[in-house]
Amino acid sequence: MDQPDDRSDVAPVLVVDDHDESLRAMEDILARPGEWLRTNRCFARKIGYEPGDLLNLRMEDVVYPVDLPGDRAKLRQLFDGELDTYHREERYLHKDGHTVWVDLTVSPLRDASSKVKNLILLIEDITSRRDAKKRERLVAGVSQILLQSLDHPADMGRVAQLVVGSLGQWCVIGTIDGHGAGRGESTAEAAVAHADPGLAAVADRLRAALAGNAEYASSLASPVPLTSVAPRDDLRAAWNIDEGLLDDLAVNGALSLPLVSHDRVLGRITFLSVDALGPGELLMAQEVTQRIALALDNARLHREAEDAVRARDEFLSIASHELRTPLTPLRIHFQRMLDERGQLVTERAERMQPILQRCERQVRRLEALVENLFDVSRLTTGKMNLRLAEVDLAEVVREVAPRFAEELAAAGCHLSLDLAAGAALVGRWDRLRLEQVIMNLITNAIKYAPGKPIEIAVAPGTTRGSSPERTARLTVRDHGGGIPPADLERIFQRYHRIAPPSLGGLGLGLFISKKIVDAHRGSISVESSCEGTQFVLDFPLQGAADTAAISLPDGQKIPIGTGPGPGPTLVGCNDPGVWS
Amino acid sequence: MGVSEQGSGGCKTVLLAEDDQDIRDVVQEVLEERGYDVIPARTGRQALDFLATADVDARPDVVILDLMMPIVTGWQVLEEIRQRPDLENIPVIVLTAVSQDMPTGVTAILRKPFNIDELLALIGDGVGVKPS
Repeated sequence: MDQPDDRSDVAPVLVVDDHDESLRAMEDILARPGEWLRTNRCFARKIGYEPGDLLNLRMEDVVYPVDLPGDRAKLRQLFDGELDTYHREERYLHKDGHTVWVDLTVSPLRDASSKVKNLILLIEDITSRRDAKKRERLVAGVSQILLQSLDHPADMGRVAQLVVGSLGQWCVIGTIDGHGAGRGESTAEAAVAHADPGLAAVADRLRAALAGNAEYASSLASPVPLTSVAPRDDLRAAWNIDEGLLDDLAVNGALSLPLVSHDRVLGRITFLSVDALGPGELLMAQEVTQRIALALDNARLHREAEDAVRARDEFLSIASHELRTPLTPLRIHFQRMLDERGQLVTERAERMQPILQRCERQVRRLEALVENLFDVSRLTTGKMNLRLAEVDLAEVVREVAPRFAEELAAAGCHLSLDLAAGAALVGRWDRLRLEQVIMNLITNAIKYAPGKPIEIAVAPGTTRGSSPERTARLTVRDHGGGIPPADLERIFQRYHRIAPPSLGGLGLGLFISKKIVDAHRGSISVESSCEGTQFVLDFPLQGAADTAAISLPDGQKIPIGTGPGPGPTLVGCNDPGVWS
Repeated sequence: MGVSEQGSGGCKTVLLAEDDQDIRDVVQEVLEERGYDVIPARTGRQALDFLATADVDARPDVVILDLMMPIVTGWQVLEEIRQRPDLENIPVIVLTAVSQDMPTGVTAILRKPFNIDELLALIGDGVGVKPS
């Protein structure tokens, strides 16, 4: 491309049809097709020739055979005087066999009797424009398929099918499974597609020939891109497939690219074509290849992330099981010690009581933490099972609150209860789960607003929405410094903590609380300002859907031991003024 | 833990199948303080062996069964108990540290760490409560 005129895609070409005066008639033209009279270097080079070479050729030598009849029909109209000029997009054949799309304008030079004397062809190479559009469409289509699901083995077949509509006639995609990427040890079935449904049987044979094919499998791990000039020989060598199949594939162009992402070879895509593949098609192939490699890599990362999450949840489940086991005798021993103390009224035993109580409280804290760890691993894998029974929400609050007597006193918080006297707010709920939610909220209030009053109210409420339902509404309000807006949005997410590490906690309480409320078909919302934070929870009085409950045989007694529960010697409050 | 005499139902013998020695020991101690005879079993296999060989009058009145035990699990013990007509009415109290896949048709399920008073109350009731 060293000539100035090479810069232009527009290449006027003069063609002569009448080196002999006797050839003016259309029939003569068609009988003795026109010869190139003059052409410029730009056009010649576009289709792989030197201008001198081109002048030795005829139109039919360079026009793509499929497009010739259309061209001739237009010419006939031109010669018959039906057309003054014509314009069409058609393909020329590059000397190396690939096609070049041109925008062709044909204008005749006529003599005095209006007979066509010469033709002037204005030819614009529109290959790159067409390729770009086609590439855009193809890449968009491929991306769409790949985005729909990360289950890549199923999708590769669809991708291959889409590719053959735009690029070549055959597409073969092979991926390297799992984490052995780059070693080519195990491969998924090759995705094989052909543009012509009539060749499904050949596609099946190719698929079968590649399944378990060691040469094919090892070719997948190669990072080297291959443009084939002798596709038949190359395929025979690379895939070790038989001559009959090679005959039926009938390819003259082949391009094989590695699917590479982050320096890992994830597989290989091979494009086979009846015609040689041109530069535009190479570009298209590269882009499609990149998209697929990226999607495969994303799928791999997704898979690894899922595996990691699964491993974590399994670990949490095992860890909480293991932690519960020593907690069981520990708790029983503390109960026994506290019980023994009751039998021995001595000064020393009196002094022991608060120490034992503190120790037992720590055991309960451990139990609660283990419970949360266990809940979170269970919540990520399945839905929460509720054990529904008639529960009075105010009564639950009344029972839970005294458990915090010591912590409230230590934090200097005054807790006041407003429990909807007279309005029995009874629903079918899971009592222990409600306790868990209330305890989480009180724990948070003490943690984030020490030294400030805390108010808990239970009152009748209604759900929002088109058909409001009656609810029992629980409000827990503190007067702390509030929650920053950025945190407020994520407050119900797992492991989201606002507190500095020194305040402790796993960031699970509100996540679990929301899941519990959700399982009861309820709602939980939070409002916060610099004057304090208020959680509002609505539990529909109709209760949770029955499907959420574990079904038990009628009349069966199933008491369930839980982590944090009331200890008989801990209930009560030293300071009567705390409760109102 | 305020009551020192055993339940009025005449429940005497408790088969305690639990692989964790610390849990087994403390539960055994507490039950023996209350006057129960406790047959400790370290594995499901031991529990089954006892059930297979015990005379009619030596059979336990209540079975306390940990679900997750090595070799023979609590599930397998439960299955065996259900297949034995002479044992089908025996109350079974299940102990578990997991909460998925709870067995049905048992007297009670206690999640670890459990409250010993709850366990005592269940054993006390044990004789009167039949699995459905």
